[in-house]
Amino acid sequence: MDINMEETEPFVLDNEQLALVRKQEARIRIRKGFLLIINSIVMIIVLFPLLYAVSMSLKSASEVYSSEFSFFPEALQFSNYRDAFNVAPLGQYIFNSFVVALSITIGQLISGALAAFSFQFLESKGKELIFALVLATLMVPGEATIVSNYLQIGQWGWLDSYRALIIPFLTSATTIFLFRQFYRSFPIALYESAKMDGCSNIRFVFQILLPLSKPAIGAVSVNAFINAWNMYMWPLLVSGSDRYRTVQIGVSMMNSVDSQSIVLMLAGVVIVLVPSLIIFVFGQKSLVKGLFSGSVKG
Amino acid sequence: MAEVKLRQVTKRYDEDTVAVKPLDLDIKDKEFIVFVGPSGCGKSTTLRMIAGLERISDGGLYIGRDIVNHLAPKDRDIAMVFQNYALYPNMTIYDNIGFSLKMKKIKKSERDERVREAAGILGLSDFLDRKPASLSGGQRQRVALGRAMVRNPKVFLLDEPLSNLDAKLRVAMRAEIVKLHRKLETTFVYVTHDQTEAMTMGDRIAVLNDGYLEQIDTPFNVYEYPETKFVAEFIGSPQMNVFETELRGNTIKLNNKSTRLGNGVTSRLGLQLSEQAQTVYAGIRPEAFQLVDEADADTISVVVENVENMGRDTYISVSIAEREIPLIARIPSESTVMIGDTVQLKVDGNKWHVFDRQTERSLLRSPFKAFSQRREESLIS
Repeated sequence: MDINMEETEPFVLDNEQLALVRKQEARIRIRKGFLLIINSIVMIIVLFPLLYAVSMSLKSASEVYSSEFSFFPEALQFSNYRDAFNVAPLGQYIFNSFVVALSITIGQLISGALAAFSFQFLESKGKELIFALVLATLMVPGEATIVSNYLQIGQWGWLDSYRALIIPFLTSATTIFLFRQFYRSFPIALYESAKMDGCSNIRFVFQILLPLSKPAIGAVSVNAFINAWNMYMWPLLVSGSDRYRTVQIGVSMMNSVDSQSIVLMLAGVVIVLVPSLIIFVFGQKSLVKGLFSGSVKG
Repeated sequence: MAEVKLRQVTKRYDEDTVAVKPLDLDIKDKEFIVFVGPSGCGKSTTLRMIAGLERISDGGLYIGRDIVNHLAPKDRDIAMVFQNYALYPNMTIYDNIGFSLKMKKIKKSERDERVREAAGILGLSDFLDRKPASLSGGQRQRVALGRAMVRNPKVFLLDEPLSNLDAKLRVAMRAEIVKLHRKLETTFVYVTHDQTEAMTMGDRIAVLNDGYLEQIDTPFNVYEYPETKFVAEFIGSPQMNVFETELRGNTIKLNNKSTRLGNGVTSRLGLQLSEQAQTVYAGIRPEAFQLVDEADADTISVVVENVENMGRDTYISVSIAEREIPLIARIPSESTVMIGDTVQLKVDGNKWHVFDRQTERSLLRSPFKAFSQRREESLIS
């Protein structure tokens, strides 16, 4: 056998090739730098209202009403945050909001997962039509039904209670849609296999389907929690006492109760923002993964 | 007893779409039967109807002595292995294999024993605590088999179980499944589009086409005595050369030359040999040709258009007058034939297949069928 045992010389670029490679590298660096600048500008524009609210919440009341514009506070007034809790039962409001948002999230997860399972896995005549009707409800603005819902709730004697705040939102077309989109890419063979193994539908959902639907659960949870946390009109209408008032309403009332307390209100706003931001930061990966599931072949 | 009987079983999606036309089929106890056919031929639909995953539009399905048309899949005492394994990714291999037993509420100690026994047979004992994602394709397929095995079903249904594996693993798994069938002594119904799998694994092969059962027979008979033009062309690689030509007396026209049919063919021809030309479909397998040096009455002279060296054999493509696409002939790999060469090919006259031009059914009687028919007739008389 003829084997070439000669050692091969190491590959070296000549000066001309080296210059070309350096030029290509420089071009990539310039492009990256340019993109970084654009991203930074956009980030500042997007974050400005948030940062401005944080800055305002740390100013004194006189500084807020001063005609001179300054972004940074002269002296940090952390007492605004303490005062916000003293002026109104902010702790109770936050607790109420948590109870409402968590209950709505759990309710939407369960109802959405089960409804989407039926639409995707079970055979029934006209299921696509029913699904289209469910989606069509997305086109009806909440404000259009708010009065009739209020009257209905009032008739049942549910006003000013957790029931009024939670039950009307225990299911949502968006949640069903998001779950179904995810299930579309779920291998049907797993369902068929479970059926052959003698697994019931409900057991399949809770033992096999949901544990494998983490991206969808993440997306739905973030979406449902933030929407519920940020609800304003409905809680304003149905909650009358501090016992059931949610934090969004409580914070907005801080300004009207005492016109001098805009800084307290801003401190309240920043406090309210924190849970949403935390949830979004931790859940954004799942949110994006869940929202785009099934759109491209995995 | 785990015979499976299909009586006029039909699958209709709507008025115009009939996926499986009325199908009669008897699958014997402990038999390994393979459904083979091109995509959309109805083989998987038939299997899914047996499994209970697809509703039967018409007809009756019997497993053992019972009609099972309206029984839920879990109550049919069958197990199925899916193409994509269908393992539960969130469960360990142990839980995957034992899931059906858990659903049947079988005692934990018995469950454990059966899971470990199945895992032992399939060489999975070391992987029981792992999740499916950490296993290779072959191991996952073995888990799928184990999941089916552990239930001791009357019938095993396998839906293209090897199509996701690479070629080498497929050959190995093929042998393992056949071994498993022998060991378990259970009825196996296996669906594939791969004719090699069908030929090597099945006791009998059912060839389906467009929702219709073309032929059901042993691999040997399906290959040697195809009942229809479709079966002739579908089984065998490279496929049989089939073309429209003239049959006159005991000769058949090949490349505008009359070639003699052998006695083995003429004795089985189901039509009167006539001196008048009849148009038929003639079929000849690539291996029925022989490369010869001298031209004579039984050879055709053709120009080589393509040469494919497959290692053990060489396939040459040559054009003939009766066929638009080239005819393929198998020659020994030692041959030094090159593209553009003119060669002499001799045809084995006993290897011809003749099909009716209208019905596309074989005009040759299967010698085995003739034998069994004669036996039946003698028994009646």
